[in-house]
Amino acid sequence: MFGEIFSFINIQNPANWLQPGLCHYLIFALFIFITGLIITITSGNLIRIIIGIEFMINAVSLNFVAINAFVNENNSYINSLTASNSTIIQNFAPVENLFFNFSIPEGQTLALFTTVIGAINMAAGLGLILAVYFKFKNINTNGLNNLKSADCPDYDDLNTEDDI
Amino acid sequence: MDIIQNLWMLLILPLMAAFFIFIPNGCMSYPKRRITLFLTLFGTILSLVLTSVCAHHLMVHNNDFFESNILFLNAGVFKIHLGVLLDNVSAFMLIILYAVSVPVCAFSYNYMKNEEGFSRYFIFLNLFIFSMAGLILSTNLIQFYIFWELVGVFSYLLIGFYYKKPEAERAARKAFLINRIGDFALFAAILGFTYFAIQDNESILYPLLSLKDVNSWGFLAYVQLGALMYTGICLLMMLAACVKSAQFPFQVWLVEAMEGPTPISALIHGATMVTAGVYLLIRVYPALILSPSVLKIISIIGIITAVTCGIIAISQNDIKKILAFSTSSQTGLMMTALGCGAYSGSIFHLGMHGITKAMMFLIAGIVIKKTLSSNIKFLGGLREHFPILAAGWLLGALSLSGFFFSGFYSKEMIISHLYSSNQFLYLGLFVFAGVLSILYLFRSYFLMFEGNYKGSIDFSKNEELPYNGIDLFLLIPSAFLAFLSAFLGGFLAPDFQRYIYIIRQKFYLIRHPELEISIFILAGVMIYIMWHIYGVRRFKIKKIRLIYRFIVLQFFINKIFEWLYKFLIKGTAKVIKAIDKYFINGFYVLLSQVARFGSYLSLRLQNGNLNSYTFCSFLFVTLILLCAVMVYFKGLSNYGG
Repeated sequence: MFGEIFSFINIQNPANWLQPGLCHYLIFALFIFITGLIITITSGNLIRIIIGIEFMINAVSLNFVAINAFVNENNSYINSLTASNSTIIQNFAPVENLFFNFSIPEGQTLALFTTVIGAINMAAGLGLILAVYFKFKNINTNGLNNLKSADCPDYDDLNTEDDI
Repeated sequence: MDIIQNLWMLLILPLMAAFFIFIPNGCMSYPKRRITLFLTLFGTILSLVLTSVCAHHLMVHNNDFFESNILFLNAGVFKIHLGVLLDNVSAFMLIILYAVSVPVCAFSYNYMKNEEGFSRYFIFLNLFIFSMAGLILSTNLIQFYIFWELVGVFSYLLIGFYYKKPEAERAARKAFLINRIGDFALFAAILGFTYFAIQDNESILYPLLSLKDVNSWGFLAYVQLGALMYTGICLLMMLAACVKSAQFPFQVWLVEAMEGPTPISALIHGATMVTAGVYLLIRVYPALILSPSVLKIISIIGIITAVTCGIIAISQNDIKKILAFSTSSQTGLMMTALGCGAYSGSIFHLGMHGITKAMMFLIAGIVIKKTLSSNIKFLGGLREHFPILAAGWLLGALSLSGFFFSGFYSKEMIISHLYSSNQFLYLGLFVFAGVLSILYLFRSYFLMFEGNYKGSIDFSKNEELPYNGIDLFLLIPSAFLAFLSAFLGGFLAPDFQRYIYIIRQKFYLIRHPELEISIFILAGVMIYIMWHIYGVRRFKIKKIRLIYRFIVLQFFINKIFEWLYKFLIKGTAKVIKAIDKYFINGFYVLLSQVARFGSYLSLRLQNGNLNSYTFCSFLFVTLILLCAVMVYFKGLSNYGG
């Protein structure tokens, strides 16, 4: 069962995606995403959380664009690089039919939308932060424990003065 | 009427009487005393008549037996029957039972007239008679065991009749718990016999362990003489009989059982329940013969009991306790006779002793009621005030000591057998026990009825009243029993050994005149000595430490039983309570702790911490996506990627 599930790792002929060039971009985006994740999870400061969210959004945009560059065949500049032993001039030569040398760039449009959404997200987040600031007069996450249950065990090693 | 119907009526009559007593007395606010008395007397007198009819029927039909069974429980090879069995022994025992029950019931009416629990008393009395009749009429050992336990239960209820007194409650509990030992032993013995009987595969045809003809138990043919397991089973049976009949270490329950009302002592502890043990041994006698060591042990325990209880009885000051020790002493003599082979002598002595002892208990009851004291040190000179009671007590004393009247015949049967079979040690100890019985009985007679009255009750009014102020209802039962006690022995003795023919007796009644005359002389001398010590007060006996030591021996047994009760019974109860609390209950506590631990783990997630919530949401979304991805790729590989 597990051999079948993870058999995509050992596929011999390269699939349409996850090519050698592509995975560099994806890993890079993964790093940025993980950084954003860690910033979000381990911050005691509300603004820092929003910064982390922005990191994650940008990483996702990078992911979209990278995949778009390698997956779409009509617009695949990078695909064409591996196809033949062509020179640099030929690589930079335009396509013969000027009318049809386009395709809908899904990844890039989605990245645009994602940026807008990120901005909206930040706006909403800043509104929340303002509300919290007016109530608590600081922007720590330590005071936001109204959802704590009555029987929750307390730990003595809770660090309450981190990240002020 | 058909003989079988007679028998079933005998069994059911007291039960119905109890039931019909309960209905009016349980439903109405005041007890219906006359109805109660009428129902009880009707039940018992009718039973007596029926028993006589049955006995006559038996004699006419040349000592055949009649049996009728109901299949009560059917489990293939293992069946339990309940039924009635009439043969010579059971007819004789039934006569004794009802001959004692009728006077006791009549006596109880007057004795318990002003008591609170009048109807309760009579219900229990009838139920006791029912269970004793069931015991006597039982067809197989399992039914025997059922009624054996019932007898114990009703004896407990009746001893503890005055349950508000703590001594009575304690005595009843003690009696019941000590009888439980016997019940356990009997049950184990029955299991042992059943084990053999089922292997033998003959129980399909008639009741398992049928008492009809113990000679015909098939598995007895395969038992070697004195085989160990078989001896063990017979020892258990002997233990059960000794416990029920108050033999040596177990006589304490009988002594304490005197807390119950006097008619109950007459019925249960004089005539019926303590003879249930001997009856058991009589019934399984052909099976007991196969292990002769058990017979020896029976006679040893019997003679030890007879001598010990006789010695203790000499030092007692309470009338009923003297009679209690006398009962266990005489029962010991019965066991001795049984163990030495005087089978019919044992049965005969059982009957005669029962009647005489019941009569003496009734007279003691009258004395206690009239003088309001049961300590013979405070009595005396009652012969002038109540000559009838003195005559009755004297008759009983002479009969019990084996001197005149019916006790003479029964003891003579046993003594002749012992002499003929050359068992001189047992003979000597038997005679010694007889001498002891003379000592304590005549001590009690002289202290109660001779000399000067040391109490404070004025008896001068009694002399004008008819029968010295003793109520007829109290007097006539005692007189009836006295009449029986005087003449029944001589009436039945000559044919008795031919009547009770279960095994071939080795020595039929051979009269040994030299033995009898020497015993007479010995008895006469002892009575004369007693008269001088207690009646005329010519010799004073110094209180020797020896006497007190014998009382203390009794106390030691009591202490042993108390220690056993505390250690075994209460200790077991404590252990079981601990197991229940920590192990069985602990299982559920474990379940609840598991749930609590689960909630503890889950509650750690709900800490109101924003970072924790963020992390958990990311984590679980990732895990779910991972599952989805895995399912997708599994699907891919199924259909060729």
